[in-house]
This record gives sequence, C-alpha cells and structure tokens, in this order.
Amino acid sequence: MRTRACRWLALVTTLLPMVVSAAEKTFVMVPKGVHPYYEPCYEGFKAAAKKYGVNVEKVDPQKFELPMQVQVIEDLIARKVDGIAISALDDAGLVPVISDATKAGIEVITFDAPARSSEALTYIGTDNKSAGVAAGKKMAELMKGKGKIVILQGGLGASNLNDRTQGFKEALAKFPGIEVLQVVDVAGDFSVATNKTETILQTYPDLTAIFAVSAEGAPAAASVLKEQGKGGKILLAGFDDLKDTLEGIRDGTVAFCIVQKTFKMGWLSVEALLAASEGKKLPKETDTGVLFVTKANVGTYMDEMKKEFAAR
Amino acid sequence: MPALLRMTGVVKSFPGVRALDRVDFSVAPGEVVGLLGENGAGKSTLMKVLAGVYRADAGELVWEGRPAAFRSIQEAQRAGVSLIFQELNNCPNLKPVDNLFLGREVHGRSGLLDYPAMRRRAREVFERLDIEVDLDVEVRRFSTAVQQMIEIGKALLSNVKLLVMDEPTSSLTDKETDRLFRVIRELKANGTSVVFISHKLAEVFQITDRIVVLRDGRNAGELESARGTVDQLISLMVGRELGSFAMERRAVAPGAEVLRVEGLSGGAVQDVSFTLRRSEILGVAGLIGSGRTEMARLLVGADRKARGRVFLEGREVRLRSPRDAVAAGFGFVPEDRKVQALVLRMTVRENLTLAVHGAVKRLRAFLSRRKENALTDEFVRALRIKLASREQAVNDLSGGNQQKVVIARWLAARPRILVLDEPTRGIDVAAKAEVHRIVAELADRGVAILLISSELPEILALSDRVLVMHEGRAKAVLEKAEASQETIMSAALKASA
Amino acid sequence: MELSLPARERRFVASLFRRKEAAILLALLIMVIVIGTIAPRFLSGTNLAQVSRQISFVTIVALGELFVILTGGIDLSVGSVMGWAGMAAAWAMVGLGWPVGAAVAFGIVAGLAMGAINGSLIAWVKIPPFIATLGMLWFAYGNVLGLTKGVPITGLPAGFLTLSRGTLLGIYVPVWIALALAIVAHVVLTYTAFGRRTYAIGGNEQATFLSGIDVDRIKFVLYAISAGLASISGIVLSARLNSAQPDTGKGWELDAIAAAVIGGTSLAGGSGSVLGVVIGACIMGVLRSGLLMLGVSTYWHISIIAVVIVLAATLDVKTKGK
Repeated sequence: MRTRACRWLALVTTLLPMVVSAAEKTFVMVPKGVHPYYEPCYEGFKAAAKKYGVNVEKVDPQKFELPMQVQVIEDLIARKVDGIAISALDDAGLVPVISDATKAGIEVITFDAPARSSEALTYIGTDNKSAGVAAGKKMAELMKGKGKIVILQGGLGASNLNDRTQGFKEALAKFPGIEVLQVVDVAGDFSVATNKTETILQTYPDLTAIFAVSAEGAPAAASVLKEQGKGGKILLAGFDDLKDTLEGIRDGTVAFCIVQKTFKMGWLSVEALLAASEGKKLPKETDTGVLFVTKANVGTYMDEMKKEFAAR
Repeated sequence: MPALLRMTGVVKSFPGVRALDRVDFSVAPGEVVGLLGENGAGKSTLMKVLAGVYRADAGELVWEGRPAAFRSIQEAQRAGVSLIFQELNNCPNLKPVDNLFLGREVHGRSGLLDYPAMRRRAREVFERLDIEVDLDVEVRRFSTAVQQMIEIGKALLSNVKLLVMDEPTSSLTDKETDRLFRVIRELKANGTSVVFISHKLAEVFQITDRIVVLRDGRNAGELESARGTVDQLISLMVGRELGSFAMERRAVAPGAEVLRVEGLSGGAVQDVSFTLRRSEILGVAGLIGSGRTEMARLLVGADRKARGRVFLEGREVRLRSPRDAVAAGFGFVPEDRKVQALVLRMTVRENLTLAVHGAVKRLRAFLSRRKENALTDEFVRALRIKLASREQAVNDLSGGNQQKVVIARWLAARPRILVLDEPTRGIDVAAKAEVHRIVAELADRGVAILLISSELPEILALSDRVLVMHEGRAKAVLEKAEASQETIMSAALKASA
Repeated sequence: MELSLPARERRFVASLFRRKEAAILLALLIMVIVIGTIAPRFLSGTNLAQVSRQISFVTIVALGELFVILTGGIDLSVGSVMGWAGMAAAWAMVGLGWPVGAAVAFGIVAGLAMGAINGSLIAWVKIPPFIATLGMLWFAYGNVLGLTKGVPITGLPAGFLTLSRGTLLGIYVPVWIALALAIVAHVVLTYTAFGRRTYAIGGNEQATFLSGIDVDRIKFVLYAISAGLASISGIVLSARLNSAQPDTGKGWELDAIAAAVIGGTSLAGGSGSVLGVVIGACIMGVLRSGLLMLGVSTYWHISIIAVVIVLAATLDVKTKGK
C-alpha cells in the first residue's frame, strides 16, 4: 500500500515539472541587428514576460542584412519556439520565412518595423507617418508658423524614414510661411551628418530650423551648432533619444526629441504573442505612439514610460 | 620521292640578331629527321617559321610540292604541320577529350557538343598510341609523358603529316621514351614525317634517319644517322673560328681561394661543388636546362637550397637571402635584365644605386642626391654607358646600355664575388666587347667572377677555368689548357660515362 | 661623357607642367571656380576652412593607402582600424581616466597592433593583401562591436575635442595634422632609402629582392604605417564627432582608395605621389560639399560623384603620356 503511494508520488514529482515547463511558452525577439535602440524594447519584453510567466530570448542578426535575419528566423523555426516578434528589415523579403513559421505553428508578429505583405498577425510600433505629423505640428509651433527649415534623413531609401518625412512635411504644409529647403541624405552616418550640417549652415545663412528624422541627425547637428556658437539660435529637433541628443536638450541646443515608446513595444509584443497563442484575434496594427522629450521631462521620461506598465 | 617539305634560303632576324641566315631544310615523307645545334643556333626559330608562329624575312617554303606560307598556327595545322613544344600546350584544367578536340569540336545535330562521338574517337587514338587514359580526369593530373601523348593524339586527330617535337624526352623515363619511340616508328610506317629536336645524342642516333646540324643560324652540315658518330656531330655543332672573340689578355693570375661550394643541391641542382679564387674567372657552361641559373640562384640565396655548404675565405657562411649574399660580398647579374634586374619605370640613377643605398646616404636615412649623382656619373663614365641623362627612364636605353647599368649597379657595390648570368645576351657586338673588357678588368682588380654563358667563344675568351654542368650536376672542370669548344660540348652533351 | 644640361630654371618650370598631377590639379581648380561662381558662399573663409577640415580625415587615411598601394598591395581594413583606434583612445580617457596625450598614444598603438598583424600575414605568411586586410576589416570591426555592444563612448574630455575644434592661424587642427603628415610622407617617399625601396618593390619586386633589399620587412612596415595613419584619422574624427562610434570609419577604405587612385596612384604599384593623393581627396571633398551647396538634389549626389571620379581617373591615365 505504501509502496504504491510512493511510486505514484515519484511519478507525479518527476512528471509535474515537465508538465509545468511544457506549459511555459518561449517567445523570441528578433531585432534588425545589434543596436542599443533595442535595449529598452527588450527590457519591456522581459518585464512583461516576468509578469505573464513566459520565457523570452533575444536573437540578433549579426548584421543589418535580410539574409541574416531570415537565417535567424529559420533557426528559431527549427527550435520550435512558440512565438517570434520581428523588427522587419524588409517586407516582401520576409514573406516566405514568416509563412514557414506560421505553418510550423509559431505565432509571428512584427514590432518597430512592419512587414505588411506577410502573414504576421499584427504590427506593434510607431506609426511613422503620424509621428512625423505630430513632430511637424510641434516644430511649426516653435517656429511660430514661419521660417526656413532643412530636414536630415539617414538614407533616402528607408521606408520608415520616408514615412516620417512625409508626415512632417504634410504638417508643415499647413503653414504657408514655412519653407522646406531640402531633404538631405546623411546615410545614417554621424560624420556625414556633421559635414552636411556644416555645409547647410554655410549655404543658408537665414536658416531657422533643422529637423532630423533619424537618430544620428540631432546629435551631429547639435555638435556643429555648439561649435559655431549657434546653439539655441537655430531650432533643432529630431527622432530618438541618443545620449548626446538628451545632452543637447539639457543645454538648450536641442528643442525637443521624439522618442518611440520602445519599452511599450516590447511589452505589448509579449501580450500580443500570448493572446495569439491562446487563439484570440489580434488587431491589424497597434500604434504605440510617441513621446516628446523636452527640457521639462528630460530626466523623468524614461520612468514615465515604464510607469505606464508597472500598474498593469 | 618528292620532298614533303622543302625550305630554302630562310632568313629571320630579330632586333640586333640574325637568328636564321639562309637556312635550307627539307624532309621526305615518312622520314625522321633530327635537328641539332647549340643554344641559339636557330633550331626553334626555324621550326617556328615553319609552323606559322613567325613570318620569315626571306626564303621559300614548298609544302607537298606547292609553294606555301603558313601565316598562323591554325593554317599550318590544317596543312598537316603540328608542333609540340617543350612547354606543353595542353589546357591543364580540361579533360583529355576537351583538349584533343580544342578548336575542332564535334557537334551533334542539336548543335550541342557530341561527347559520345568525341569520346569514341579519343579512345581510338589512345589505343593507337598504346596508352591508357582515363577520359574523366583533368589533364593536369597526368604525368608529363601522358600529357605529351595527348598532344600527339591531338596532332593525329588533325591528320598530321609532319610532326615537329622539340626536346620531347627531356622529362621522360626510359620506359616512356621507349614508348614514344614506338609511336614515332609507327607514325613513320604510316607515312608521317617527324622532326626530332633534342640534345640527347644517343637518342637522336637511335630514332632518326638523318641528322641536320645548325650553327649560328646557318647550315653546318648533315649526316646519316646509321653511319654518323658523336664526335662528327659535335665538330659540326661547334666548328667555328675562335677569332670571333679576341682572347682577353689577363694581367693578374688567380690568387687565393675566396669561395668554396660543397654539395650544393636544390630543385634541379644536384650536388654541385667547385672553388673560386681571387682574380679568377670561372666560366659555367652547359645546355639550357642544365641547371646553371638554378645553381647561381641557390648560391646567392634567391632560392632556398636543400643541402650544401658555402665557404667564403675559408669561413662557412649561411646565405639565406640575397640580402645575406650582398652583405657577404656577392653581386648577382641575373639572366633576364628586364624581368629580374631593372625597374624599368625608374631612372638610370635610381636603378644604378639600387643595391648601394648605404653608400649614398646622408644622416642615416636620407638619400643624398648629390652622392647618387656622383656615383652614377662615375660608373656611367667607367662603363661608357650611352644615355641622354641620368634621369632618363632606364627603359629607354638600348639593351646593351641597360645591361651595363645592371653591371654598374653591382660594380658600385664593390663585390668580392660577381655572378654573371648570360651578361651579353641580347646586346650588340660592340657592347659585348665592352662588357668583356669590363669583366676582365674587374678580375684583374681582384674580383672573383662566376660567368654563366651559353656562348662558348665568350666562355673560352674569358675563363681561367670552365665548369661544365649537365642535368643539374657539375660534370667537369676544365683547365684553360684543356678547354675548347669540343671538350666543353662533349662534357655538356654526353651522358655520364 | 655626354650629359645634356639644360638651363636649370627652364627645366624646373617645364617639369612642373609635365608633372602628371598637373591634370588633376587643373580639374580641381576648375571645379572650385565653377562651384564658387554659382554659389559664391562656397569660397567664403569659413566654408573653405570647414571643407578643408572635412577633407583632412580622408586625406590622412589615403596617405596610408598610398604607401601600401605603391608596392602593389592594398589595405581594406583602414576603415575598421579607424573605429578601433578611436574606440581605444576614447576608452582610455573615459574608462581608465588617462590624460588626452596618453590616450591618443594608446589609440595609435592599438591601431599599429592591427597593422602589425596585417603586415606579418602579408610579408611572411604570404597571404595576398586583399584577403589579409579584408579579414582584418571584419576582425577589427567585430572586436569593436563586441567590446562596445554597439554603444558609442561619449563624455570625452574637453581637451580632447581641441584636436578637432582648435584652430591655428584660422586653420583647423585636423588640417594641420593632415598637412604635417603629408609633408612627412612626401619626404619619406622621395628622400629616404625606405621610400626609394618602396617604389622599387612596386616597380619590380624581383629585381629589388635580388638587389639585396629586405622586401618582406619593408612590406611589414608599410602595413603598419597604413594602420597607424588610419588610427590617427579615426582618433581625430572621434574628437570631431565628440564620441567614439562603433561605426566610425565604416566604408572609408573605399574613399581612401578612390582618393589615391584619382591622384594617379597605380593599383599595380610603382607609381603615385603624396601630392596626387591630396588633390584626389580634395576633389572628392569639394564635390561632396559643393553639390550640397549648389542645391543639387541629394538623390543625385552619389551618381554625380561617381561620374566625376571616373572622369578624373581617365584624365589622369590619358595625360600620363608615354
């Protein structure tokens, strides 16, 4: 009698952890490549994972190249993970591999950069166009409706950047007193952005403002303005919160920056993958929105972002 | 029987030298003719004129009774003349069938290559040649002997009537040579003629019907193989007046030993030993391929030696690179001045001072233009180099003057031992005489000289002793008294007794 | 002995015109004049000072490339070494708290180490330069990524920034550095035995070898020089960018090689000059800045620059005469 109970107990105690761990799902985040931008995304991912009791990982493609991202996803398919959140390097290029993942029973969503032609269940990220519009509105406010502005764009072929520029220009179009002089390609490169800002300042001595739709633009332009003593005299604003951009906000060289709610992206990704795995239907897109960082909240905005989720 | 081939009065000149001077040559159908002569006698040039590689300056060619002039190798091949060079002409990365039919591919009805048909014919040809060839292996994997057979097969497929073979047995074993001779006899029996160029006298006598000898671009004579002797042959090859180069009068007799080489081996060179004394000129003679240049390169560290010891004034030295050699007091004038010695783009001054930067330095690192100029002028004067300015690109100078610049480079280095490899190749007679004078003077001033040359008169005019090399070995060392063109040639040609 | 001796002055002036750099110098002047006419602000003192600073970074790297290309080699790793050295210097200042001078020296030594590896592989292991330096391109960049995890090093001390912000006689420090290095390079190549031997190796390596010159050791030193110069440029560039970015220098090897080639350096080795390289770098820099100032739509910049580069190179080939 006792031996039978012991045997049953032994069975249960060996099987139970296996059953429990089988119930614990594994979700993997696949960014575009190695970049500090994804750190807050992954923090949000991890925080949500902790709350919901799932395993999470991040696997970076070695370079910002489509074949590498495809390979990472294929490896994950072979490992039979439960869900993948991808920041898509390309739209059409990921269609086949996302289809394979879906067929293998893996839930696939995109975050930060969409792949609208694919079978990804949803896109969680910034709506770049409306972000651009919001930025344009704020810039026009600061310019008091008139003046000349140059836009710095890190690569004229990037669709997300083009969306931002388009939105930005649309918002400015409502102000006949504002003239967009040029959209300048800075190739995502710091030193190119620096050189071009210098030249722009020489070309347009009556420039009112500079706006950067990609991360390297604002800090590069800020350093040039500072060197020439024009910090604060020419309005400067841009996307993303690199350390030097925040520095610029603190010392007044940068009027504001637009931060993508990367933490939120990570968090919502976990929620979306979980919901999908439970068979719930997901909305096509979720705009995580943007946050403006100015001198007022430059020290606190990070915590503000996270507080939104601490309550949940 | 009418001749298959009759060439008369062929003349061919290259800048500075008349390679063929009214040469006659004929071949009957089904005849095997040996073509012999020293290096540079004109054998290869004559055959290249025949095969359409060169165009003769004058002369007539009658092929199968009709006048002809082949303007390209393809034309010659179509007429039935095939040339198999010493450097084989296969595409090593292709397979046998591809090589056999290169330029003559067989197409099927679909327009694509008809491999089955080609393979069948290939197998027939190889059977005829009595050789096993795996048709699916790249040609580069086969031995030289087999590659040669593939070339012969190519000739057979083009219905060759006259097959010219230049040094065909130089890399064959005895067995392979026998097989080749069987093939040649079979060709002969089928009415195909063969021209057989070789230095291996025993073989020439064995396989040919008749032997034609060229000397200095002219006919020297011919003999019937069945009745000729080696000595007759040698005298035909070398019998010239010795007066073409005046004997350089030497004021100083050779002194103490300055260089001793023991058992130098590496690559083609095997176990070469010799000594060299102060003020001595040691001529190094031998046929092309006897390893003279290779030996010199091993000596000065340009190539890595496998074995051997070198002693300078009694002390052993290790010369692992030309740098070591130069530091030890060697100078080396290479065979091919344009490829191995001159930086053509640079000026005469820069070329001349290339080996002696130490002597023209200022403040340890900088080159003093003033010293360079002085040094250059000194040697330009001493060697009577004709130029417009020392800032001229050395490429603009004539061959003779270019060679003088190279020699000047080494004279500037004041070497103890100077190695000269074909120092008067490709330069005109006047410059040659000057170079000889310079060499003799150098020796009189105490420099020990190693003179490699293919021109026997040159060797005889200058050398105190002659080292004769044969197939990588030092065959003989002849004292001045015993050295003559005949004795040198004998040693160079005859296989070991 | 007959040596013709034309009047020294006549010879000098004639030689100036015959110099092959005359053609590209002319091209550069025409470009500057055309751009200056359409956009006069281009010729303002401020702009010229800025443009020359922009050009100085590529110039320094291109000088290093010149040394190795002269022997028929190439150095594809210079871009990554720039980032590597910049990172090393920045880390020494920010992470170890070293003074600027020591940190800069440290950065240069870090770069030289990479150059030494290149040099050893090429000179003694006999790996083709293309492959060895391509490997180093990835190796150095990979190390930078791995050590920084993609995060730039910021917070560089103010003293360091003077390396790029400071001026002397109205000319920025980086321009002075580039000028000084160019002069040194010119002196070395033209007046020292080392320089002569470098050209000789490119002209005929066998002949140089048989003349008793240690070709291997010279090659080793040349690749170290290339890396050293790239390091200097990378460090000064970090000063300009006020941070050591992991991507600093990415793709710069192509600019450096292009500048050298436009300047008349033959990729086969044996010919090329410091003056040519400087002019080549200027042509590229003037173009880049000028097009922007002319208001030419950015979309077309790259094509236009490419066309001009090819034209300049063709002009150079055609006027080399012979």
